Amino acid sequence: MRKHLGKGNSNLSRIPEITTAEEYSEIYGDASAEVADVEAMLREYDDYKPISERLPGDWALMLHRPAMARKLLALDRYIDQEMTWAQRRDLRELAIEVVNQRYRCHYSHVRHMNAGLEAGLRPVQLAALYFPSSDVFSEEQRLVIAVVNAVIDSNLSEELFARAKSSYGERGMVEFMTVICYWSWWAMTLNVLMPVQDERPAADLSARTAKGDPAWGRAVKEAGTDE
Amino acid sequence: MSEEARMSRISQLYSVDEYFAHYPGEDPSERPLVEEVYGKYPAWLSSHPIFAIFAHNPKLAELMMDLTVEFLKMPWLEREVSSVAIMVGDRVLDAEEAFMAHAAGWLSAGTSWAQVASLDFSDSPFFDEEEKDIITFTRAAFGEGVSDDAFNRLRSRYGDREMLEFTVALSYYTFFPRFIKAMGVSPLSRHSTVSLWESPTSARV
Repeated sequence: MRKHLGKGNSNLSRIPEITTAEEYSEIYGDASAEVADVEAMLREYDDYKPISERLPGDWALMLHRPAMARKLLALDRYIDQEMTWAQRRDLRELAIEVVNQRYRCHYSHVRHMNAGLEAGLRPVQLAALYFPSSDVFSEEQRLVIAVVNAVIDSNLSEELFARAKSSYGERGMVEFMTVICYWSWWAMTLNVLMPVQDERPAADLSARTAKGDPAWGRAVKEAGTDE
Repeated sequence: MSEEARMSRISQLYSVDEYFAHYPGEDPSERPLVEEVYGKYPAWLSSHPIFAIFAHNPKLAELMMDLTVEFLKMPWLEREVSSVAIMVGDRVLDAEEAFMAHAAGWLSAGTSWAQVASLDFSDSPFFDEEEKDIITFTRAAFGEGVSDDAFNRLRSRYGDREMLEFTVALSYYTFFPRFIKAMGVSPLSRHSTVSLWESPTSARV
């Protein structure tokens, strides 16, 4: 169990991470209902996203309250696998990464990097979130970025809301806002609790150089280099 | 439900009938699921504008309410200081409607209005040391980040589990103000709140 605190040590989170029922019992005793919730949550998580080595740090923190962790996991899984608006994974991951960028949540930013690439986002797009009007984004992507930024800034205008609503409908807007607010919740929580970063970007990320993306290539060319 | 209370950018669906009137093309086979959700949380879905908006997606509404039930069980929320953190969050988010609603609960519990009025001042004499630490922590969580010192001061008081609860609750209470503002929901309980401000008991300092 990794159990120290303090952001001076990147190998330790601020409260212990719990990754097994034994670790839970070590801290909180053998209350059967709670231990059963820990075991159930681990099963449900593994069914949702197979655990390769250990439960990821963000969820390992939630296991201090196993019943809550199960409800949170159910919501997470529904958003990920069923909720209609979120099935446009490119838009969803773009929205999440804008949230992470705004909150400066490095943990979640890295956690979602692979998902973003797998969803079809390009490295140059993930690198350009700070420039929401950039032409590396499509019109729809710029709309999503603008809405996310406006929600976080608490200034979503009638005009911008109406534009998004005309694209996604009322139910879609409820789902879109849920994505923004849900990952804002995560970002703020993780910034405080600081789980250990245990996921890395895809191994081939470094191979996606300027030559692989016209947008990077143009920028590099303008900068006067040939890589 | 008054017309004012129903104002928002998205329709509020307070009953199964309203849901199917709004979505006339919905597959009738979905009706049992929708009825189950409205039947599971009748009080929230018949009166709370936020959940009535979530009801555009009944499954999502159900999961949100399931999670909310778990949050509300957290012992940290039973501490009086939890209100301080939540209202500081409302102020940082510029979420007037949520602030007024939360203040109503705090004032009706007999808390000093002077504290509510002093939430921007973590060194105010109206707050004890615990409350000051909470304010400092909350403002940092919304701003430059919580320092080790600020975190550990509260951790030594609450322990690991309640620090998780505090953090999770604080973040959760930011979910709703953002959602409320984005959806343009009209005042939640403005009139009852204002009357509390003007009541003799809330004038206590």
